Parts: sequence; C-alpha cells; structure tokens
Amino acid sequence: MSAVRFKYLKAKNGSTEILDSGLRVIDVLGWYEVGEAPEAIASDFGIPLAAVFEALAYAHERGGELQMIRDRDAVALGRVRRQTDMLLGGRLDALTLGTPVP
Amino acid sequence: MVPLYLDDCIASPRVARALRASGLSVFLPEEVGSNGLPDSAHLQKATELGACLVSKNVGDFVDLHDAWHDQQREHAGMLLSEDLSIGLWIERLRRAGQLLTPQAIAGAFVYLHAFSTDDAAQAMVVSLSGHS
Repeated sequence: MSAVRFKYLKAKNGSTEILDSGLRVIDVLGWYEVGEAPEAIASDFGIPLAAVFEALAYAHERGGELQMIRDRDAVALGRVRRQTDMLLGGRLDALTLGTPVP
Repeated sequence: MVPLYLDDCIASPRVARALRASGLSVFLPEEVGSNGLPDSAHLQKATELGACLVSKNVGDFVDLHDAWHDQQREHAGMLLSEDLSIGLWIERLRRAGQLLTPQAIAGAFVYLHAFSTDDAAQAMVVSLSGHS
C-alpha cells in the first residue's frame, strides 16, 4: 500500500500547515471539533475546501503527532490558567461558574 | 480598549468583523503582511502595532513569552485559549478588548476564559491594572 500524499499540506514552522495560510492541521481539526462545517472553515480562512478535508484526513492518519501537540498545549494552558487564577486570587472558577469550558 | 492581533489560527474575518462592529481595533495577519510567518514574527508584529496577540497555539506562545522575558523584551500582551466556537471567541474577545487597556495587559499572558463573564472580566482588569 502506498503512502498517502497530500497536496495542500506542508511541514513548516515545526508543524504541518496548509500551504500559504499559516493555518495548522491542528487548527483546522479544532475548528471542526467545535462544530464549524468544513465549508465554513474554508470560507473563513480563505483556503480551498479540499484543503480542509485533506487536513482532516491528515489528522486522522497522524493522530499521534497531533496528540503530542495537544499534550504540550495542555501543559502550557495549565500554566496560563494557574497564572490567571492567581491574578484573580483563586476565584477563576467561582467567577466563571456555569460558562462553557470545552 | 486594547487593540487585538489575531494569530493565523484564529484569523477569521468573521471574528474580526464582529469585533470591529463593536468598535474594537483588530489586526489580521493577512492585512498587515504577516500571514504564514513564524510565531515569533507574529509576536513581533503585534508588539510593533501595540496590539494584544490572540491565539490558541498556547504551547508555542508561552515559550515565546518566556524567551522574550529572558531577553528582557516586553510584548503587548497575550490572550490565550483552547479551542472555542466562533461565538465564544467573539463574546470573550469583545469583553477583553473593551475592558483591557494596553498598559494593563502589556507583558502578560492571560487565559481568555477569564473574560467569559462580566464579573470575572472586571476582576481581571482590576488585578492586571494593579500589577502594571
């Protein structure tokens, strides 16, 4: 079985991006997972619809690679959250109670 | 109010239009010639524009914050978040952009979730203003 070839994707700046957009595969996946339709993602970011589907296919094929990015982001976000909570005197959860957290 | 610079990952014209309709100053990379550039170039551009950088690429920008801090450089602030729906980005960025001042957010990174309610946002602004 031959390896999948991608037309619109390129390794750049340490991650896999859609050509000439700066939009990473993981960004496309994120928008898709929060409910944005592929057509809306393509329109919003000025990229071909085929590039969106290709990014989603890549994400499916390379789940491990994307999970590593997500794990790293989660660690960093934990630090950002702690710093913010500290600035709020430990009241972040209380002050944002009931609001959506993905 | 603080100007906002939307990183490539959140550089949606739909978000920009909604924020601008609220009177906010918003920069998109494509409009200032920085789309597709490395993260460091985005932070540099946002700083030159005096705008707070907005991104969901949290790992890379926290690293850049640390690198700038080590070099005794100050950016114009960062608002960082996990993935959110377009509606939540707009709601939280509108609140943050309207309440924050450039002086309060300069050099700091903040979790955008702190702008998900009016009470939290007001408390955040008071705290940041006290630290600036």
